[in-house]
Amino acid sequence: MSVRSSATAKSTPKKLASNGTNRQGEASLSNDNADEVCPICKNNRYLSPDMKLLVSECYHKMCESCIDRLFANGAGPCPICGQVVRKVNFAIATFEDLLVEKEIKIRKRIAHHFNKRQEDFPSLKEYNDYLEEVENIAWNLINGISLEETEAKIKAYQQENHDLIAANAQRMLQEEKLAKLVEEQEQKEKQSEFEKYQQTLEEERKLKATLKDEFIEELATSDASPEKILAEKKAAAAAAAAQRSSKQTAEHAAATPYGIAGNSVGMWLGLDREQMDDSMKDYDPVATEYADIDGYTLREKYYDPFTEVSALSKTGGFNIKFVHERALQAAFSGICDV
Amino acid sequence: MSSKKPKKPLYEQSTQFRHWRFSSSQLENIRTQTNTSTVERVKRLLTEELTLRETEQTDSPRPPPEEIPYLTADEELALCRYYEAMIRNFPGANFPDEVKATAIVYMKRFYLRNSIMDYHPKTIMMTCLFLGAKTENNIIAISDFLNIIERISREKISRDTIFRHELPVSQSMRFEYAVHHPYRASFGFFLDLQNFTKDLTKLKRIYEKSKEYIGTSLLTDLVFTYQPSQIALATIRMATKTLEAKLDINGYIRSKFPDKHEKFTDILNDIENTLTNFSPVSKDQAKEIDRKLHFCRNPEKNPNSALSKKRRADKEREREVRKTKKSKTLRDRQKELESVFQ
Repeated sequence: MSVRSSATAKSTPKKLASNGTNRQGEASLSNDNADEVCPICKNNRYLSPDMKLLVSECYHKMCESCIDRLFANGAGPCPICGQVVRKVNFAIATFEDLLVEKEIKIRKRIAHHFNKRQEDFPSLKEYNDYLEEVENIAWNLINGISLEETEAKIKAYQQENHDLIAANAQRMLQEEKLAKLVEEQEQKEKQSEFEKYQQTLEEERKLKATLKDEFIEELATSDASPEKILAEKKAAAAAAAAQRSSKQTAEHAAATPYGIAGNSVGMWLGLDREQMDDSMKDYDPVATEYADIDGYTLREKYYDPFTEVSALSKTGGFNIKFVHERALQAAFSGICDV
Repeated sequence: MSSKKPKKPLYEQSTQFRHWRFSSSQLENIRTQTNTSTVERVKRLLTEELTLRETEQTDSPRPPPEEIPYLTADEELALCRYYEAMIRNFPGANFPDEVKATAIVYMKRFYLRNSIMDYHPKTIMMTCLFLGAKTENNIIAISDFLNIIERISREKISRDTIFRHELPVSQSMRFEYAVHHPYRASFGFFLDLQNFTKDLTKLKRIYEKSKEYIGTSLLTDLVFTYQPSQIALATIRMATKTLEAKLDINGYIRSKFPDKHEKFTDILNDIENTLTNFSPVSKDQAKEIDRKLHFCRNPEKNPNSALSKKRRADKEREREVRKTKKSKTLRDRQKELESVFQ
């Protein structure tokens, strides 16, 4: 008994240990940074699994507690390279390789300024030259080659092309917006199509159920042979299906969507734009109120052998007064124009 | 917006008022301008045609382009008038007055900026009538329309001829299809004059007579120079005079427009003069002009001419060249791109 118990007692720590290694193995699998060490305090993840390594502006890693300790009183020099850094500028590294991290950050910054496009250049060659120049600048910044010179270059470029940069940024924003709009529209269409499809499935299911019920009921009540009833039902179902499909195609044809920039109207409006602009000067296309046409008083009744009024048109709301008023308005509009 | 600006009459917002109102001198200017530019163009094209033809066998002797008597603006106008009158007296299809009037106005608008040396008025007349029937809500099927034309003129016209001309006609009118005619205004005066006289049968006759005058007015330039209501009132006044009705129409006008009476009388007199002096273009005259026209038509519009054949060939060749050029630039670009990495 005692032996057995001791055996179990012995086995427990073993298990624990194996558990421990297991956990470590998991961590190494998921994070791949089990042996990460803070270069300042030499603390590693094995000992303190909650340790968080952050990256400074100068691309040096250190753990959170070190950062708290070192930069408690605001800005201070980086203990590795000596560059002045602040606590707020530490960030969680997206990539393990800090070089990659650095490159991406630099490229982001450069792309912000150097946003010219191919259509801004007269030829492909010049555009390629420009791209090469940008690539050189990026390379210099990433590898710390003649930093001051490169920075000066960027600044000069920025000043020179201030307007174009802003314009291109604006354009990019707009393009993004448009793309988003298109995407949204597509999604909506897809959604509605899916809903429609589901609806038709549901309808079909219902129809089948009712047909089946009817079939069974008819079998029970009528004297006709079951084959005949079955054939009838099948024909009815086929007719309904055909009707449904034709309705669908009609709906589909009716719902041709208009493009976002559907300005085919502008094509013929531009026939002779100059003349058009001139004539549009004092034209109000949305005018809803017009000057009264005076010079006449509309009577209740006129002698009118010319306008035919049938009983049918009267039921449709036709009133001969409208005809008379329109004629009188025609008679007195534009008459004073000299 | 409306509180700041004074409100405008509805009619003044119409395209007819804004774009198709000219003085007689303006009309004359536009027509001579169209005529001279067309003559120049046609002369150049005919010379080109002749040089092309010299290489081929000449089937019919033609005078050299420099010596052809080209049509003058007046002659062009006369032939147009002749065909306009044909619309007015169009026998088949029972088109109401409005359809015919609209077709005539379309034709007038079209030939302001186009010449009969480019488009023969016969086809344009039919196109305008077909278009007018559509815009005035009196739609007639193209096959029925062509049947009627064939019955009248004993000449077969293909539907494509009409369809092909619909676009140029519409474009020249700047797609402004709405036309206001004096007919409705005249009816308005017929109604309003009932306050002024008790003799309704006479008034009815006056109105009917005025419609006849309006028909004549459509064949003149009055549709450009005066407003429909003015023409209507003038024709009513004329009808009163010719029928010798006991209706003091001048008194009516004076009472309606007391402050502008004198100016008004001038307008009405002018319209009246134009209408009384109007004489239709005779068939012989039209034939004479048509004979002249035969020699100075734009060879580009004739599908059988050497020039239009050349144009078609040129177009084909140009398309071919463009195609090869495009593929070449694409290839060059590809090469340039590839050379970057070498």
